[in-house]
Amino acid sequence: MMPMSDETNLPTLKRFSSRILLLELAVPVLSFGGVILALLFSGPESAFDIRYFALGCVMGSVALAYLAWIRPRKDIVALTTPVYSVLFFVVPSDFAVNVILELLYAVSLTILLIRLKVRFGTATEPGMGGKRSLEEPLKTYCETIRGQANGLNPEVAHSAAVVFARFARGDYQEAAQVAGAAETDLAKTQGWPLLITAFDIVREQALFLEESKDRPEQFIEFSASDTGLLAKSLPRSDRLNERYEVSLDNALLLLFAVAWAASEKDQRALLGGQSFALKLFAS
Amino acid sequence: MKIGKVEVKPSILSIAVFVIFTVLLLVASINSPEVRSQLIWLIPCLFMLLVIPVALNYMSRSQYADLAPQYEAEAKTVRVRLINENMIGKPVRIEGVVERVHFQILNRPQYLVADRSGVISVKMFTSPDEDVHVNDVVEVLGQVIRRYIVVGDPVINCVSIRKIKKSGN
Repeated sequence: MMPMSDETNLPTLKRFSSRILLLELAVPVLSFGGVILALLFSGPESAFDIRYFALGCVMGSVALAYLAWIRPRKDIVALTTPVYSVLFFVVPSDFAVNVILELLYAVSLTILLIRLKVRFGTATEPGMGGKRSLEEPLKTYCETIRGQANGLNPEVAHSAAVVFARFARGDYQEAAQVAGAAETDLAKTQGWPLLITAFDIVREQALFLEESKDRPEQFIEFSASDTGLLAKSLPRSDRLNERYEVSLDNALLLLFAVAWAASEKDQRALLGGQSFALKLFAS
Repeated sequence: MKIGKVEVKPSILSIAVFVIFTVLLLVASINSPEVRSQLIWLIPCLFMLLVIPVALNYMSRSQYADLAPQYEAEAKTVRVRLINENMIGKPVRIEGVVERVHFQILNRPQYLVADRSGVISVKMFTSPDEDVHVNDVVEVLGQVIRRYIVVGDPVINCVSIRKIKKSGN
Protein backbone atom coordinates (compact mmCIF):
# COMPACT_ATOMS: atom_id res chain seq x y z
CA MET A 1 0.00 0.00 0.00
CA MET A 2 1.25 3.46 -0.82
CA PRO A 3 2.01 5.50 2.31
CA MET A 4 -0.12 8.48 3.19
CA SER A 5 2.60 10.95 2.38
CA ASP A 6 2.86 9.70 -1.20
CA GLU A 7 -0.90 9.68 -1.67
CA THR A 8 -1.18 13.24 -0.53
CA ASN A 9 1.90 14.44 -2.38
CA LEU A 10 1.18 13.13 -5.83
CA PRO A 11 -1.85 15.32 -6.65
CA THR A 12 0.09 18.38 -5.43
CA LEU A 13 2.96 17.50 -7.72
CA LYS A 14 0.63 17.03 -10.72
CA ARG A 15 -1.08 20.34 -10.03
CA PHE A 16 2.26 22.01 -9.78
CA SER A 17 3.56 20.45 -12.99
CA SER A 18 0.55 21.75 -14.93
CA ARG A 19 1.17 25.19 -13.44
CA ILE A 20 4.76 25.07 -14.67
CA LEU A 21 3.52 24.06 -18.12
CA LEU A 22 1.09 26.99 -18.13
CA LEU A 23 3.86 29.38 -17.11
CA GLU A 24 6.13 28.01 -19.84
CA LEU A 25 3.36 28.60 -22.37
CA ALA A 26 2.71 32.03 -20.92
CA VAL A 27 6.18 33.29 -21.85
CA PRO A 28 5.73 33.17 -25.67
CA VAL A 29 1.96 33.72 -25.50
CA LEU A 30 2.25 36.93 -23.47
CA SER A 31 5.24 38.35 -25.32
CA PHE A 32 4.09 37.47 -28.88
CA GLY A 33 0.50 38.32 -27.90
CA GLY A 34 1.69 41.81 -27.01
CA VAL A 35 3.47 42.06 -30.37
CA ILE A 36 0.33 40.99 -32.28
CA LEU A 37 -1.82 43.50 -30.39
CA ALA A 38 0.80 46.18 -31.04
CA LEU A 39 0.67 45.34 -34.76
CA LEU A 40 -3.13 45.50 -34.77
CA PHE A 41 -3.20 48.87 -33.03
CA SER A 42 -0.15 50.45 -34.64
CA GLY A 43 -2.06 52.59 -37.17
CA PRO A 44 -1.89 56.39 -36.97
CA GLU A 45 -5.60 56.58 -36.13
CA SER A 46 -5.23 54.09 -33.26
CA ALA A 47 -6.29 55.39 -29.87
CA PHE A 48 -3.74 53.20 -28.05
CA ASP A 49 -0.06 53.77 -27.59
CA ILE A 50 1.72 50.55 -28.62
CA ARG A 51 3.88 50.80 -25.51
CA TYR A 52 0.90 49.52 -23.52
CA PHE A 53 1.22 46.20 -25.35
CA ALA A 54 4.85 45.92 -24.32
CA LEU A 55 3.36 44.92 -20.98
CA GLY A 56 3.11 41.43 -22.52
CA CYS A 57 6.91 41.33 -22.81
CA VAL A 58 7.28 42.55 -19.22
CA MET A 59 4.90 39.86 -17.92
CA GLY A 60 6.60 37.22 -20.09
CA SER A 61 9.94 38.23 -18.56
CA VAL A 62 8.56 37.88 -15.04
CA ALA A 63 7.19 34.40 -15.88
CA LEU A 64 10.57 33.41 -17.36
CA ALA A 65 12.43 34.70 -14.29
CA TYR A 66 10.11 32.70 -12.02
CA LEU A 67 10.74 29.55 -14.08
CA ALA A 68 14.49 30.18 -13.76
CA TRP A 69 14.18 30.76 -10.01
CA ILE A 70 12.46 27.44 -9.25
CA ARG A 71 15.12 25.40 -11.03
CA PRO A 72 17.93 23.82 -9.04
CA ARG A 73 20.52 25.47 -11.32
CA LYS A 74 19.91 29.18 -11.69
CA ASP A 75 20.17 30.88 -15.07
CA ILE A 76 21.33 34.41 -14.28
CA VAL A 77 20.35 35.63 -17.77
CA ALA A 78 16.73 34.47 -17.45
CA LEU A 79 16.57 35.75 -13.88
CA THR A 80 17.48 39.28 -14.93
CA THR A 81 15.03 39.58 -17.86
CA PRO A 82 12.43 41.54 -15.81
CA VAL A 83 15.08 44.19 -15.18
CA TYR A 84 15.78 44.47 -18.92
CA SER A 85 12.08 44.55 -19.75
CA VAL A 86 11.61 47.49 -17.38
CA LEU A 87 14.66 49.25 -18.83
CA PHE A 88 13.47 48.72 -22.42
CA PHE A 89 9.75 49.30 -22.10
CA VAL A 90 8.95 51.17 -18.88
CA VAL A 91 11.80 53.55 -18.07
CA PRO A 92 11.72 56.64 -20.36
CA SER A 93 14.71 56.56 -22.71
CA ASP A 94 16.04 58.02 -25.96
CA PHE A 95 14.97 55.14 -28.18
CA ALA A 96 11.33 54.69 -29.12
CA VAL A 97 9.44 51.54 -28.20
CA ASN A 98 8.20 50.06 -31.46
CA VAL A 99 6.89 46.76 -32.83
CA ILE A 100 10.34 45.63 -34.03
CA LEU A 101 11.81 46.05 -30.54
CA GLU A 102 8.90 44.15 -29.00
CA LEU A 103 9.20 41.40 -31.62
CA LEU A 104 12.93 40.99 -31.07
CA TYR A 105 12.38 40.94 -27.33
CA ALA A 106 9.66 38.27 -27.65
CA VAL A 107 11.97 36.13 -29.82
CA SER A 108 14.78 36.54 -27.27
CA LEU A 109 12.51 35.48 -24.41
CA THR A 110 11.45 32.37 -26.33
CA ILE A 111 15.08 31.46 -27.07
CA LEU A 112 15.93 31.95 -23.38
CA LEU A 113 13.00 29.73 -22.38
CA ILE A 114 14.23 26.95 -24.68
CA ARG A 115 17.76 27.40 -23.32
CA LEU A 116 16.43 27.24 -19.77
CA LYS A 117 14.59 23.98 -20.45
CA VAL A 118 17.50 22.37 -22.29
CA ARG A 119 20.42 23.49 -20.14
CA PHE A 120 19.09 24.15 -16.66
CA GLY A 121 17.15 21.01 -15.77
CA THR A 122 13.61 20.46 -14.64
CA ALA A 123 11.74 22.96 -12.52
CA THR A 124 11.21 21.75 -8.97
CA GLU A 125 8.54 22.51 -6.44
CA PRO A 126 9.64 25.51 -4.34
CA GLY A 127 8.57 24.18 -0.93
CA MET A 128 4.79 24.22 -1.30
CA GLY A 129 3.80 23.78 2.32
CA GLY A 130 6.86 21.56 2.76
CA LYS A 131 5.25 18.76 0.73
CA ARG A 132 7.48 17.05 -1.75
CA SER A 133 7.83 13.62 -3.14
CA LEU A 134 10.65 11.33 -4.10
CA GLU A 135 12.01 11.61 -7.61
CA GLU A 136 12.91 8.77 -9.90
CA PRO A 137 14.91 6.53 -9.82
CA LEU A 138 15.05 6.90 -6.04
CA LYS A 139 11.31 6.43 -5.75
CA THR A 140 11.34 3.10 -7.58
CA TYR A 141 14.27 1.89 -5.49
CA CYS A 142 12.50 2.84 -2.25
CA GLU A 143 9.43 0.93 -3.41
CA THR A 144 11.62 -2.12 -4.09
CA ILE A 145 13.13 -1.97 -0.62
CA ARG A 146 9.74 -1.34 1.03
CA GLY A 147 8.76 -4.97 0.36
CA GLN A 148 11.88 -6.21 2.15
CA ALA A 149 11.67 -3.76 5.02
CA ASN A 150 8.23 -4.91 6.22
CA GLY A 151 8.26 -5.51 9.94
CA LEU A 152 11.55 -3.73 10.45
CA ASN A 153 11.93 -2.09 13.84
CA PRO A 154 11.16 1.65 13.39
CA GLU A 155 14.05 2.48 15.71
CA VAL A 156 16.49 0.76 13.36
CA ALA A 157 14.91 2.60 10.42
CA HIS A 158 15.27 5.86 12.35
CA SER A 159 18.94 5.05 12.94
CA ALA A 160 19.29 4.51 9.18
CA ALA A 161 17.83 7.99 8.60
CA VAL A 162 20.17 9.54 11.18
CA VAL A 163 23.21 7.84 9.67
CA PHE A 164 22.26 9.03 6.18
CA ALA A 165 21.64 12.60 7.35
CA ARG A 166 24.86 12.79 9.38
CA PHE A 167 26.88 11.37 6.51
CA ALA A 168 25.32 13.80 4.02
CA ARG A 169 26.25 16.70 6.31
CA GLY A 170 29.83 15.49 6.51
CA ASP A 171 29.57 14.60 10.21
CA TYR A 172 31.41 11.36 9.64
CA GLN A 173 32.34 10.64 13.26
CA GLU A 174 28.72 10.85 14.38
CA ALA A 175 27.55 8.83 11.38
CA ALA A 176 30.05 6.09 12.26
CA GLN A 177 28.94 6.02 15.90
CA VAL A 178 25.23 5.73 15.11
CA ALA A 179 25.91 3.15 12.39
CA GLY A 180 28.03 1.08 14.78
CA ALA A 181 25.32 1.12 17.47
CA ALA A 182 22.57 0.22 14.98
CA GLU A 183 24.68 -2.58 13.52
CA THR A 184 25.26 -4.04 17.00
CA ASP A 185 21.54 -3.89 17.83
CA LEU A 186 20.62 -5.55 14.56
CA ALA A 187 23.22 -8.26 14.97
CA LYS A 188 21.90 -9.09 18.46
CA THR A 189 18.40 -9.67 17.10
CA GLN A 190 19.73 -11.48 14.03
CA GLY A 191 18.24 -8.79 11.82
CA TRP A 192 18.42 -8.33 8.08
CA PRO A 193 22.02 -9.21 7.06
CA LEU A 194 21.99 -6.84 4.09
CA LEU A 195 21.14 -3.92 6.35
CA ILE A 196 23.85 -4.96 8.84
CA THR A 197 26.39 -4.91 5.99
CA ALA A 198 25.14 -1.47 4.89
CA PHE A 199 25.61 -0.04 8.40
CA ASP A 200 29.02 -1.71 8.56
CA ILE A 201 30.17 -0.24 5.23
CA VAL A 202 29.04 3.26 6.18
CA ARG A 203 30.66 2.96 9.61
CA GLU A 204 33.96 1.83 8.12
CA GLN A 205 34.11 4.42 5.35
CA ALA A 206 32.86 7.25 7.60
CA LEU A 207 35.77 6.55 9.95
CA PHE A 208 38.22 6.59 7.04
CA LEU A 209 36.76 9.90 5.85
CA GLU A 210 36.90 11.36 9.35
CA GLU A 211 40.59 10.53 9.48
CA SER A 212 41.15 11.54 5.82
CA LYS A 213 42.51 8.09 5.06
CA ASP A 214 42.75 6.55 1.61
CA ARG A 215 41.09 3.34 0.60
CA PRO A 216 42.47 0.37 2.53
CA GLU A 217 43.62 -2.81 0.79
CA GLN A 218 40.70 -4.72 2.24
CA PHE A 219 37.29 -3.24 2.91
CA ILE A 220 33.75 -4.31 3.67
CA GLU A 221 31.57 -4.98 0.64
CA PHE A 222 28.21 -6.42 -0.26
CA SER A 223 28.31 -9.95 -1.56
CA ALA A 224 27.37 -10.86 -5.12
CA SER A 225 24.16 -12.48 -3.84
CA ASP A 226 22.98 -9.08 -2.55
CA THR A 227 23.05 -7.52 -6.02
CA GLY A 228 19.29 -7.83 -6.56
CA LEU A 229 18.53 -5.39 -3.75
CA LEU A 230 21.31 -2.91 -4.40
CA ALA A 231 20.77 0.37 -6.19
CA LYS A 232 23.88 0.10 -8.34
CA SER A 233 25.54 -2.92 -9.83
CA LEU A 234 28.92 -3.90 -8.44
CA PRO A 235 31.97 -3.21 -10.65
CA ARG A 236 34.41 -5.98 -11.63
CA SER A 237 36.43 -7.42 -8.77
CA ASP A 238 39.74 -6.01 -10.11
CA ARG A 239 38.40 -2.42 -10.07
CA LEU A 240 38.96 -1.85 -6.38
CA ASN A 241 38.53 1.94 -6.29
CA GLU A 242 35.19 1.73 -8.04
CA ARG A 243 34.05 -1.16 -5.85
CA TYR A 244 34.97 0.82 -2.76
CA GLU A 245 32.98 3.85 -3.90
CA VAL A 246 30.00 1.90 -5.20
CA SER A 247 29.84 -0.05 -1.93
CA LEU A 248 29.37 3.22 -0.07
CA ASP A 249 26.81 4.50 -2.59
CA ASN A 250 24.81 1.28 -2.29
CA ALA A 251 25.01 1.28 1.50
CA LEU A 252 23.86 4.89 1.82
CA LEU A 253 21.05 4.39 -0.69
CA LEU A 254 19.91 1.27 1.12
CA LEU A 255 19.83 3.18 4.42
CA PHE A 256 17.85 5.96 2.76
CA ALA A 257 15.34 3.51 1.27
CA VAL A 258 14.96 1.57 4.54
CA ALA A 259 14.43 4.79 6.50
CA TRP A 260 11.92 6.04 3.93
CA ALA A 261 9.99 2.76 4.04
CA ALA A 262 9.92 2.12 7.77
CA SER A 263 10.27 5.47 9.53
CA GLU A 264 7.56 7.85 8.37
CA LYS A 265 8.51 10.49 10.92
CA ASP A 266 11.88 10.87 9.18
CA GLN A 267 10.52 11.26 5.65
CA ARG A 268 10.54 15.05 5.78
CA ALA A 269 14.17 15.11 6.90
CA LEU A 270 15.05 12.52 4.27
CA LEU A 271 13.60 14.72 1.56
CA GLY A 272 16.18 17.31 2.58
CA GLY A 273 18.86 14.80 1.64
CA GLN A 274 17.16 13.65 -1.52
CA SER A 275 19.47 15.62 -3.82
CA PHE A 276 22.47 13.87 -2.27
CA ALA A 277 20.82 10.46 -2.72
CA LEU A 278 20.02 11.29 -6.34
CA LYS A 279 23.61 12.36 -6.85
CA LEU A 280 24.80 9.02 -5.52
CA PHE A 281 22.39 7.29 -7.87
CA ALA A 282 23.44 9.29 -10.89
CA SER A 283 27.21 9.02 -10.52
CA MET B 1 56.58 41.33 -5.33
CA LYS B 2 56.85 40.34 -1.65
CA ILE B 3 55.55 42.42 1.26
CA GLY B 4 56.56 40.80 4.53
CA LYS B 5 55.81 37.12 4.11
CA VAL B 6 53.06 37.72 1.58
CA GLU B 7 53.66 37.36 -2.14
CA VAL B 8 51.59 40.11 -3.75
CA LYS B 9 50.31 39.56 -7.28
CA PRO B 10 48.27 42.42 -8.74
CA SER B 11 46.10 41.27 -11.64
CA ILE B 12 47.16 41.77 -15.24
CA LEU B 13 44.03 43.89 -15.64
CA SER B 14 45.19 46.32 -12.91
CA ILE B 15 48.63 46.58 -14.50
CA ALA B 16 47.05 47.10 -17.93
CA VAL B 17 44.89 49.93 -16.56
CA PHE B 18 47.96 51.54 -14.99
CA VAL B 19 49.96 51.25 -18.23
CA ILE B 20 47.12 52.66 -20.37
CA PHE B 21 46.62 55.67 -18.10
CA THR B 22 50.38 56.25 -17.91
CA VAL B 23 50.56 56.39 -21.71
CA LEU B 24 47.52 58.66 -21.86
CA LEU B 25 49.02 60.99 -19.26
CA LEU B 26 52.34 61.07 -21.09
CA VAL B 27 50.71 61.91 -24.41
CA ALA B 28 48.44 64.49 -22.81
CA SER B 29 51.23 66.18 -20.87
CA ILE B 30 53.44 66.40 -24.00
CA ASN B 31 50.64 68.00 -25.99
CA SER B 32 49.01 70.19 -23.38
CA PRO B 33 50.69 72.68 -21.02
CA GLU B 34 47.50 72.68 -18.95
CA VAL B 35 47.92 69.00 -18.17
CA ARG B 36 51.60 69.55 -17.34
CA SER B 37 50.59 72.09 -14.70
CA GLN B 38 48.33 69.48 -13.09
CA LEU B 39 50.99 66.75 -12.94
CA ILE B 40 51.57 67.37 -9.24
CA TRP B 41 48.32 65.61 -8.41
CA LEU B 42 47.88 63.57 -11.62
CA ILE B 43 51.02 61.49 -10.98
CA PRO B 44 50.02 60.46 -7.42
CA CYS B 45 46.54 59.61 -8.77
CA LEU B 46 48.15 57.50 -11.45
CA PHE B 47 50.16 55.60 -8.87
CA MET B 48 47.06 55.06 -6.80
CA LEU B 49 45.76 52.99 -9.73
CA LEU B 50 48.56 50.57 -8.95
CA VAL B 51 48.83 51.01 -5.19
CA ILE B 52 45.15 50.33 -4.44
CA PRO B 53 44.99 46.94 -6.25
CA VAL B 54 48.33 45.96 -4.68
CA ALA B 55 47.07 46.90 -1.20
CA LEU B 56 43.80 45.02 -1.71
CA ASN B 57 45.67 41.99 -3.00
CA TYR B 58 48.03 42.12 -0.02
CA MET B 59 45.13 42.28 2.43
CA SER B 60 43.19 39.42 0.85
CA ARG B 61 46.27 37.23 0.45
CA SER B 62 47.43 37.78 4.01
CA GLN B 63 43.94 36.91 5.24
CA TYR B 64 43.90 33.74 3.15
CA ALA B 65 47.38 32.87 4.40
CA ASP B 66 46.10 33.13 8.00
CA LEU B 67 43.11 30.94 7.20
CA ALA B 68 45.01 28.17 5.45
CA PRO B 69 46.51 26.50 8.59
CA GLN B 70 43.08 26.47 10.23
CA TYR B 71 41.58 24.74 7.19
CA GLU B 72 44.57 22.43 7.03
CA ALA B 73 43.73 21.25 10.54
CA GLU B 74 39.95 21.04 10.24
CA ALA B 75 39.19 20.03 6.67
CA LYS B 76 38.44 16.41 5.90
CA THR B 77 39.51 14.84 2.64
CA VAL B 78 36.39 13.98 0.71
CA ARG B 79 35.57 12.70 -2.73
CA VAL B 80 33.90 15.25 -4.96
CA ARG B 81 30.76 13.13 -5.23
CA LEU B 82 30.20 13.32 -1.48
CA ILE B 83 30.01 17.11 -1.51
CA ASN B 84 26.36 18.12 -1.40
CA GLU B 85 24.13 20.97 -0.27
CA ASN B 86 23.87 19.54 3.25
CA MET B 87 27.59 20.27 3.65
CA ILE B 88 27.27 24.04 3.13
CA GLY B 89 29.71 25.74 5.49
CA LYS B 90 31.91 22.65 6.04
CA PRO B 91 35.66 22.89 5.47
CA VAL B 92 36.78 20.24 2.97
CA ARG B 93 39.89 19.07 1.20
CA ILE B 94 39.72 17.55 -2.27
CA GLU B 95 42.36 16.22 -4.59
CA GLY B 96 41.88 16.16 -8.32
CA VAL B 97 42.84 17.24 -11.79
CA VAL B 98 42.17 20.76 -13.03
CA GLU B 99 39.96 20.51 -16.08
CA ARG B 100 39.33 24.21 -16.71
CA VAL B 101 40.57 27.57 -15.45
CA HIS B 102 38.64 30.84 -15.80
CA PHE B 103 39.17 34.48 -14.78
CA GLN B 104 42.81 34.00 -13.79
CA ILE B 105 43.72 37.44 -15.18
CA LEU B 106 41.17 39.07 -12.89
CA ASN B 107 42.76 37.49 -9.79
CA ARG B 108 39.44 35.73 -9.19
CA PRO B 109 40.26 32.31 -10.61
CA GLN B 110 37.65 29.62 -10.97
CA TYR B 111 38.73 26.06 -11.50
CA LEU B 112 36.86 22.98 -12.51
CA VAL B 113 38.42 20.17 -10.50
CA ALA B 114 37.67 16.51 -11.16
CA ASP B 115 38.45 13.36 -9.25
CA ARG B 116 37.36 9.79 -10.02
CA SER B 117 33.96 10.41 -8.51
CA GLY B 118 32.93 13.72 -10.09
CA VAL B 119 33.59 17.33 -10.96
CA ILE B 120 33.16 20.50 -8.88
CA SER B 121 33.68 24.24 -9.32
CA VAL B 122 36.33 25.79 -7.11
CA LYS B 123 36.12 29.56 -6.72
CA MET B 124 38.93 31.64 -5.33
CA PHE B 125 38.52 35.31 -4.42
CA THR B 126 42.20 36.18 -4.55
CA SER B 127 45.25 35.09 -6.52
CA PRO B 128 46.58 31.60 -5.70
CA ASP B 129 50.07 31.03 -4.27
CA GLU B 130 51.15 29.31 -7.44
CA ASP B 131 49.91 29.37 -11.00
CA VAL B 132 47.62 26.46 -11.63
CA HIS B 133 46.97 25.22 -15.14
CA VAL B 134 44.75 22.69 -16.87
CA ASN B 135 45.83 19.07 -16.18
CA ASP B 136 47.66 19.98 -12.97
CA VAL B 137 46.96 17.62 -10.08
CA VAL B 138 45.98 19.80 -7.14
CA GLU B 139 44.95 19.75 -3.52
CA VAL B 140 42.18 22.20 -2.72
CA LEU B 141 41.28 23.44 0.76
CA GLY B 142 38.12 25.40 1.15
CA GLN B 143 34.59 25.72 2.37
CA VAL B 144 31.46 24.39 0.70
CA ILE B 145 29.25 27.29 -0.38
CA ARG B 146 26.38 27.80 -2.78
CA ARG B 147 27.29 29.04 -6.24
CA TYR B 148 25.29 32.28 -5.89
CA ILE B 149 25.63 32.75 -2.09
CA VAL B 150 22.08 31.69 -1.19
CA VAL B 151 21.09 29.61 -4.21
CA GLY B 152 22.72 27.28 -6.69
CA ASP B 153 24.65 24.05 -6.54
CA PRO B 154 27.44 23.48 -4.00
CA VAL B 155 30.88 24.77 -4.99
CA ILE B 156 34.10 25.23 -3.04
CA ASN B 157 35.19 28.62 -1.80
CA CYS B 158 38.90 27.98 -2.09
CA VAL B 159 41.31 29.07 0.61
CA SER B 160 44.32 27.28 -0.80
CA ILE B 161 45.09 25.44 -4.01
CA ARG B 162 48.45 23.82 -4.59
CA LYS B 163 49.91 21.40 -7.05
CA ILE B 164 50.68 17.95 -5.76
CA LYS B 165 52.59 15.10 -7.30
CA LYS B 166 50.64 12.01 -6.65
CA SER B 167 50.34 8.97 -8.87
CA GLY B 168 46.81 7.76 -9.60
CA ASN B 169 45.90 4.12 -9.13
